[in-house]
Amino acid sequence: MEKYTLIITEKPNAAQRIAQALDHKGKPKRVEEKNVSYFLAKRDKLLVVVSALGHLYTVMHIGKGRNYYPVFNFKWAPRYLAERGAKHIRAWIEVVSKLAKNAEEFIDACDYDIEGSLIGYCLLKYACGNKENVAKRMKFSTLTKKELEKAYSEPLPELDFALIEAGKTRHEVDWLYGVNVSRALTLAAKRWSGRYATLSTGRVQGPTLNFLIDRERSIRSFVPVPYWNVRAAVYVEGTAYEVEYEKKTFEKRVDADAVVKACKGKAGKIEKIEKRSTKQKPPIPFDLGALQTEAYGLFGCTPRRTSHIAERLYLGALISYPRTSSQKLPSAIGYRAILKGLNKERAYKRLASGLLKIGELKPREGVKEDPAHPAVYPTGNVPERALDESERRIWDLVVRRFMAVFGEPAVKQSMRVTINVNGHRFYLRGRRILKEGWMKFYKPYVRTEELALPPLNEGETVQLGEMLREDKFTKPPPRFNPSSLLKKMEEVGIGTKATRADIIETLHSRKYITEERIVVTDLGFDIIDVLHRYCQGVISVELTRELEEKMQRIQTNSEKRENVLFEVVEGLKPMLEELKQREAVIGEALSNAIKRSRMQERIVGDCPTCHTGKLMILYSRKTRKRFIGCTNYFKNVCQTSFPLPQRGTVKPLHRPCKGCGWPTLIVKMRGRRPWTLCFNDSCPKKEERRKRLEMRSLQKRNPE
Amino acid sequence: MKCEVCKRETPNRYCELHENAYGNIMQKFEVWKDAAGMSWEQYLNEIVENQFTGIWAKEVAQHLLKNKE
Repeated sequence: MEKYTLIITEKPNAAQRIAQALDHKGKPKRVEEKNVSYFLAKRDKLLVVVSALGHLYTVMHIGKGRNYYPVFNFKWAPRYLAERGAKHIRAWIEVVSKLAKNAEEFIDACDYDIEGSLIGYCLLKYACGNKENVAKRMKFSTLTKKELEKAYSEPLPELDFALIEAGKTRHEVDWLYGVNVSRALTLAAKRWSGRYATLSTGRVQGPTLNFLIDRERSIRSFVPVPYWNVRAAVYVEGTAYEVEYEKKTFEKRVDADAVVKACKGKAGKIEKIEKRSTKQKPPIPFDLGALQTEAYGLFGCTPRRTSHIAERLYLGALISYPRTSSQKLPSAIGYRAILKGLNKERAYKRLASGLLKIGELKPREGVKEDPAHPAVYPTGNVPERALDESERRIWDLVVRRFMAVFGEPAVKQSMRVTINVNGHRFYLRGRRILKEGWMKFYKPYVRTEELALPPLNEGETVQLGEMLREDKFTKPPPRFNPSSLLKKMEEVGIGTKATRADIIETLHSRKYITEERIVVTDLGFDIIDVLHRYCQGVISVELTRELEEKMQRIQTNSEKRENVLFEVVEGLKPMLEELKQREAVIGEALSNAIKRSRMQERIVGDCPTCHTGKLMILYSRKTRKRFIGCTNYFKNVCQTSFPLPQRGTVKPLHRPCKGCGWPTLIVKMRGRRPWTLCFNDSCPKKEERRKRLEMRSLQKRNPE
Repeated sequence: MKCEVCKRETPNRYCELHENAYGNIMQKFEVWKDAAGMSWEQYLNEIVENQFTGIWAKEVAQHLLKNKE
């Protein structure tokens, strides 16, 4: 084979798209070797485009065994050596190494950010044989043909070594924290109980769990306080309108009662009508965090899922690179070309053509910048394949937000009518949109409620209708959800845009937290309790943020990787020493927590027979079969028990049955759709189903 | 010594978690008394039934009611 240029990408889909964009006929040849695909594209010369599979190399301990700590010696090694279940990586690296032998030029075309740069660097250094210093770098924010061709013809002369250094440090620091503290916790529990359970914490995981716990404590210790308000309605032209009392809340019930007594059944006089117009500026472009928050608020899509969908849309060349913290849209992206592209899609035709008529397009931008990529924007390409529902939604959101940022401010009018009733003032409020402005682009996602008021005049008399005192209570602080937690992490500056969503998922998978409106489990409490006592540095937001800042400085060459690593090791040493000295106490606390957590997982709900015990998934000592029994059985109080399916997994749903209110379970079996199980034999839903089935079989037997 | 509510080891009457909830209960009683003219027992019953009361506060309130404190 002739000599060629080897182009390395981050993912297989990107390799295919880059090869298609660079091949002069747009039809590169796909070659498969050891189940690894790469592409041959012809241009001015032969190009071989091969992808990585995310990170192919990782940080690994130099030395054998996993049952000890501290460990501070590490090296970068292929993932198949460090991780179980990464065997397929071996073939991948072998294919890249083979392709590197005949290459005369190397181009790194991985995503232009810390992770992408590190992926490309590792492949060039380790798989291609120290080619990191001769390789060039393609820099692009979209996978459109035009941008890829430009990035190929004008590559950066060398890799971004500062970015790579920062990436390496991040991985090494995370490994040092993760492996040491997680091992310390896991081993402490194992040595005390003799049973293995993975317990982990990390540089970002710890502080995140810590502020979840702070919130959980406030919620669990919360004592509400009563307050009251007065609500009333006025009748205008036969229609009732809700009015609010001038004083929003009453601290004493008697005061609220006095107002109701003084105003009930009385007429009121319109004292004043105030109108106020306000301009609402267009929204700013999406960075990843804002896109995740918006998608969660509108569609209930978790940040991690949004990130994955956005990634797919990027690989489909429909949107720009989503892992960005920029809120800027530079004119170089070509606003008009994008809008012309969107003009081809029927849903956006009217809106895009409207914008194209504007002389100078100027987006509203936010303050945040990202040196690597602009904010998320649509490329102007229309989908080549049918998008699934979730992809369509996120794409639509990005497109509409992009158009909205060029819109004019919206003008809203709010109206306040002051009604005097027996010396007490009530307010009737109305609001309407005078000019849609940017809202017409973002319409399905604008959350604004209009409340039109009838024509009213000062001095007019209106009749008060229903009036009541409302009993209210102060509420505990709200629970975090994945979106608000992500926002909080962003606010306090821990984690990166690429890792935050995954950290939340890890906390779930480790069973430190549960539910979508996040509840910290007992295990989560105990982990933080141990870390708080013996290893404070791991849960300190300040220390984590400081470390993030230092790693950020490596990116600008104002801090050295060696210094950061040295500091981390020096900080970890005393903490690990302390953990080791107290291993027995920690082991006991953690083992009990694991035991409690496992028991908790088996509790299905309150016993519907005795009402004092809990129904639990139990195993018969004789038959080893599982069933549901009441915890009061052991006290000889309640004999309630129910059979369970013996195959598949059974988990409590913590949701009452819609038919009878009994606790329910979810049953999962291989090859079948999971189903909800209500074990109440006389559940009305079951009865309904039985009748339905009988009817169906009757119909089958007598089709007439 | 063990926490009177959850039996966790503690040097005080309540563990750290329930102590905090107990502090909140004591602190909020004056507000409830002024606002709705309630007795101590009525107040405890109210917060045990209230949907916004935290689980630890409920446990302490139930414990106080049981012991008629």
